[in-house]
Amino acid sequence: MSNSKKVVLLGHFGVGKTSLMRRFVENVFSEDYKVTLGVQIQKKVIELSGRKTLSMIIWDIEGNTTVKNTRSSYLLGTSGFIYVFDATRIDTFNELNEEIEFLQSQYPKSKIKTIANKIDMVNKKSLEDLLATKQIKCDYFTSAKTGEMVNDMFEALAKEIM
Amino acid sequence: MIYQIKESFFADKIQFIQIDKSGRIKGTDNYLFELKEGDSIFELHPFFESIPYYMEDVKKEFSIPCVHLEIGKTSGIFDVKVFCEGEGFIVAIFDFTDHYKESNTLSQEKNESIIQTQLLQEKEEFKNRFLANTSHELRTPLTTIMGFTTILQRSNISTEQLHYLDIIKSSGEHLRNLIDDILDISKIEMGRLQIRHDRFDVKNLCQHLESQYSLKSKEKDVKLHIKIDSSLPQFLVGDKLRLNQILTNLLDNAFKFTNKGNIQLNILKLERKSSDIKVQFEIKDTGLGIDKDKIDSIFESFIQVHDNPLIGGTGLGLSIVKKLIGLMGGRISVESTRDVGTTFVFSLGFKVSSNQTDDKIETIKTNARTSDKHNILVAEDVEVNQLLIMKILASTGKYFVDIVSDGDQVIERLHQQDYDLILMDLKMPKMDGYDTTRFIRQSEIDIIKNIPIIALTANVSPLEREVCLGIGMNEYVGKPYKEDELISKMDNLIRKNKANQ
Repeated sequence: MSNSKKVVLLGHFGVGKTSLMRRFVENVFSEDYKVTLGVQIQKKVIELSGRKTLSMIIWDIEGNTTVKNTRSSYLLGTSGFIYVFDATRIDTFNELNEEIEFLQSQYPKSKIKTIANKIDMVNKKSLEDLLATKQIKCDYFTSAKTGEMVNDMFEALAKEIM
Repeated sequence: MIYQIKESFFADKIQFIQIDKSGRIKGTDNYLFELKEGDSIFELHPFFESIPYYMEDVKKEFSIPCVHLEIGKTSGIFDVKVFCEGEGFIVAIFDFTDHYKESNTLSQEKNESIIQTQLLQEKEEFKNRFLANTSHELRTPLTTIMGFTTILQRSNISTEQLHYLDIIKSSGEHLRNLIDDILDISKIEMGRLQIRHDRFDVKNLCQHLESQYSLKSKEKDVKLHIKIDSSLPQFLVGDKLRLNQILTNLLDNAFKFTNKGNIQLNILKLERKSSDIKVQFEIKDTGLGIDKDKIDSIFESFIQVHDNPLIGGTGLGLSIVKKLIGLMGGRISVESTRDVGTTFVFSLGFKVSSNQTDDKIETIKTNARTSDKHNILVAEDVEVNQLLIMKILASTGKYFVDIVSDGDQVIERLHQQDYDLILMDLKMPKMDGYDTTRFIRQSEIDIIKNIPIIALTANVSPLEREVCLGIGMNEYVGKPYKEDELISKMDNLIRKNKANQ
């Protein structure tokens, strides 16, 4: 038990939270969008350096346009939040800074990563420019489809919450 | 009895499990899942492994709705309630699979629809930005081409060379119209074109049309007759700019396809209820006419029903007309007979202005000459545009011209010398045209504060115009500008300003 931690995937619906979890845990990807109702939970044991392992309990919760509307019972006891937005839909990251501020204020002990998913579908440089104009900090640019940076992102978070 | 029925009804929907803090199952009723006492519940599904994490935040009990669980051969969607009980927990699992599956379908449809809308909006945004940028980039060099062509036409050149210049100029005008049309159609399709409601003079609008087409009428020997219903109030409230655009497009079309005879614009009052009035516009020509099988497609974008390469056009004019009339709540119809002529009829609703008195604004002739030369300050950072505007203004012999290349220099010059008017480019290094105008309008020196300013910009749009006028500019001229129009606006403003001093 001592080496397991709860991680929650957050963000608007359709941004690829479930796809990221499935790519990381099962190494699979499907183009079909299937709405997540409530919460789906999967586990992956991550081997970290120094023979340490972490059992990551990943909560993939239903998409919501704002964290404030998310059921707090899903968020309690979380060590790390992964806030995912869709790089192709500006509506999913327009209010990102406010969302992160809210999470930080409510869950000050938790680590937070912001993720631009579907990076395979946009020009990364243009997205970076757009984020810069909106003063949005993005930790990882991922693609659940190609697998780009998915493992790196989860593993980096694992090290931080270990 | 009722209690027993109720109990049996719920029995197979709820399971109670007692566990200790390490997740070991101490008791279970197994109504939903087949579990064994002594097994670790944490090993059965990772959800249960999360239970101890809650203990930091909650003390007695907590609920987690809509959890997807799969244990052994049983799977579904459940609400889970956990009670802290001594040295362990009681976990109550409620099966709501049927209920949640029903709402799942609705959520799926709703989310898919929202995602599609958002993606469509993104594409439209991109298209809009692309068109606006492209338009600006095209207009700037086009201004130079058109401007220097006009200047060259006035120089000593042969008739043959003059003919070539005419061709360059008409091609430039065609390109400018194409840019305007593409921008317009894009704005209409994106729902970004706002219909204005301003008071306007119908008679004045028609006089402008008559004057605008007088040269074309003479050239083609096709008479334009404009007839206004005498019972129609002179001052209406509506979008004059867009009405003018509709009429201009239809009259352009009529002149294009009419080589003999006449063109009529008849404006008729249809009905009036209180201040609401319905007005019918009829544009009738004696031109080539349209074949019956092609008449349905004339309002489609990029469709040209004629096959004569000598007749130009973007194929967007009538499409814009139909869309604008639709936006203004009206409808257009067309009747045509080959080699006899075409009649377009549309009706629009307006408000009758409560003020029907002529404002008696002094009209100033376009080519009015004054004995005094005016001091003009031109703010323009692009060298080739500086040269062009200098040549245009110098050719009139009416102005002394100073040129600066940024807003800071404008302010500096205004404090050194008196000017009658500023021609202000909007995009400039250091201080741009917008900030420079704001600065000027806040000046404590009246002669600077009240100086007429004309915006010269390649960002052509009604919104841009509103922004310019809103921050205190007096006029707005889009690039590529027509020389006569620019000079006329400059002279009007200078006259008005001098009259007010």
